[in-house]
Amino acid sequence: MKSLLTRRLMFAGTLAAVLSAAVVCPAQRPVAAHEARCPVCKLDVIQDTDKLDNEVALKFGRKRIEYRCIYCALQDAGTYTGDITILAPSELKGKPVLLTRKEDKWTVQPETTVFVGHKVNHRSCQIGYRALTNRDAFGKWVQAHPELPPDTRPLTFAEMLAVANPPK
Amino acid sequence: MERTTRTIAALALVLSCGVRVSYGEAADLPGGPPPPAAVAGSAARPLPPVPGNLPAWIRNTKTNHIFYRRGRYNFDTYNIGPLAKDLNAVAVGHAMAYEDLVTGKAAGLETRTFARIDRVLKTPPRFMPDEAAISPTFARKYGVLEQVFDWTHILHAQTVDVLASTQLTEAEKDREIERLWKYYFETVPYAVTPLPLNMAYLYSQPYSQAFRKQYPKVNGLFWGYHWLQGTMYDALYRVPLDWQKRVYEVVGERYHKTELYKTDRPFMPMFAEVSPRFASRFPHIANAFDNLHMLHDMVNDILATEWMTQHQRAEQIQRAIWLVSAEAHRDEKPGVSSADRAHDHRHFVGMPGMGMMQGMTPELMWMPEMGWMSMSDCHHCSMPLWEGPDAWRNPTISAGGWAMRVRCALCARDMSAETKGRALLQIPTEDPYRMLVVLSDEQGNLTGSMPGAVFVEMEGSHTGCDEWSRAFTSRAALDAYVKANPRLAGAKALGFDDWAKREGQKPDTYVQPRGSVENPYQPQDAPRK
Repeated sequence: MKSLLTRRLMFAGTLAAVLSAAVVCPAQRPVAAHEARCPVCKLDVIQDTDKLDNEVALKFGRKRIEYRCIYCALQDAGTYTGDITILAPSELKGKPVLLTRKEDKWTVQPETTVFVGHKVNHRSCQIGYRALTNRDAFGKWVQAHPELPPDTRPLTFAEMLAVANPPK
Repeated sequence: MERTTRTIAALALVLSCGVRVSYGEAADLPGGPPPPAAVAGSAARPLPPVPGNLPAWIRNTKTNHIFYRRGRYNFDTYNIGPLAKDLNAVAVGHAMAYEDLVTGKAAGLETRTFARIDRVLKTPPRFMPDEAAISPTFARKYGVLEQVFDWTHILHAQTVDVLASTQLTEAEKDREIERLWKYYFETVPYAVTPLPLNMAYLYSQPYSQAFRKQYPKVNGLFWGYHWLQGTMYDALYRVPLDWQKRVYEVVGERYHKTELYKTDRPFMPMFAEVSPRFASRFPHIANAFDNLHMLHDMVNDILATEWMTQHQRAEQIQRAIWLVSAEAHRDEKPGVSSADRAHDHRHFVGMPGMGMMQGMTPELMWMPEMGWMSMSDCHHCSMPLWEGPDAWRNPTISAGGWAMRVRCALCARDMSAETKGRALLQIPTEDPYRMLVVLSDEQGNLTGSMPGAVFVEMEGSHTGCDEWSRAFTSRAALDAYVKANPRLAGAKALGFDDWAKREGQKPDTYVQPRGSVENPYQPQDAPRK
């Protein structure tokens, strides 16, 4: 009897976890299957790996459009009328930074997010334009990528928006 | 009112075209007016020889118009008014450009001519003009060429009339399209070959690309017309009239806002890239239209090549007509390779309606913005598509100027959600003649053409998606299918709204095909690592 109760509790717990994950974390939806090219720069969208996410996704209603980097996604944001959310891969696998535009007002989650916004050859745009959840992660990112000068400065979201200059 | 419009249109055509058929005697090669503007820095190159045994009809310069095959569907394209008008404007656009090109006005092609054509495209004529009346010099100089164009344009017009007809059943439409092909192919000696041709060869002549380099905006218009003339087939095929009108709202907007003004295409739009369902069902017609469009490109390039004499131009135009003519490829077979690239009739695996392209193999095809793909596999899950007589079972998704075949209803729905902008999904049911048409708005909200449609979607490995994801016209049809497939026992019937809200998992079978280079139109690209 005790065993049956335990199993039921475990089942209910698992079900609750799955349901809440589906509701709370839309970002966990599997990556798009057809590997289209980035709508902005036309280069291949770099796929996620086991350790690091790379695909930038823009959610617009039921649509989920992939971009090669946050620069491209922010550039293209101006072509969507209405609320959107950009899922920007961070240094943490499975935990993208959420850039949300609601009623024309942008917000970022988590609020501690900083950005690399350094102009690089666009084939390395995933390195040059990247969201990182905090300053420590930013420092480690810059250190790990020789394409970036050591004195690269972290950008706030407002500064990153200005870099990408999304059209109104 | 509609009938009156059609009668006037028919009368206008008959009066303007005449119905005289004559195969004239061979005439001397035409001389002519000043050449078009020069290609800076271009030097004369050796030209391929013109075959010595060209038939007499290829030198005909006499008038030779043939009217439509009789049919109760004639001019039914006017059921979809905006499409009919856009096609009328295409004829004007072609003719205006050609006339200016051969009457010494080529220097203004990108400015004055472009503006004139653009005005017509934005305010299209109500009736189809006689192109020879707009481009009399061109018709006089290159008589048989104008006839080849005109004759194949009639095939275009009548096949679209059939698709837009409300008087024919879908089965009757298929049969009538075949009859139209026979009429096209057997009535005159100058029909275009239905065999796939090697486009890379035809577009690598000494004069190739002169027109697009010199007149990119007008070339963009030409390729925009070709986009429309291909796209309209899948947009209308197996689609009821009320939905044809809704679909054309999407297609027409894309045509007017984007496709006409693209100047960065690496190659003309191919029929199977934009209407894969029709191209798979009627590959001979798809090939003929691609070959005709290639003839347009070759002629444009010849006329825009300054280093050629008038005599050479006329000769090379005759050679170009010969290369795409049915007569030049008599008794040859589709799918057969040849050391002589002019007779290379290979096509892409899974797509008999498309000839070989630059840097591609039968197994791998490349499209701008889409990259490499196999035309025999689902673009969403990479599993093999339905083939041969079952090819009608493949759904398609059209968006962003392209159309892709996929393997199941889920693949179509999910791929549309991954694609920016409005999309058109065409999903077969158990009845080959009843297609579910679905429109996706900018946000991915779906609207379907069939209120009673139901779906089975018992998601699992995509090795079996063609079995577990299907659309049906009714609950009874779904129940019969499930009963016949014990593996689907217990499958739930989903109404359209429930189905439209679902999102599948990433297909376990997906593999992105890779070619030897990133872009076959940029040979300087380094080979892939």
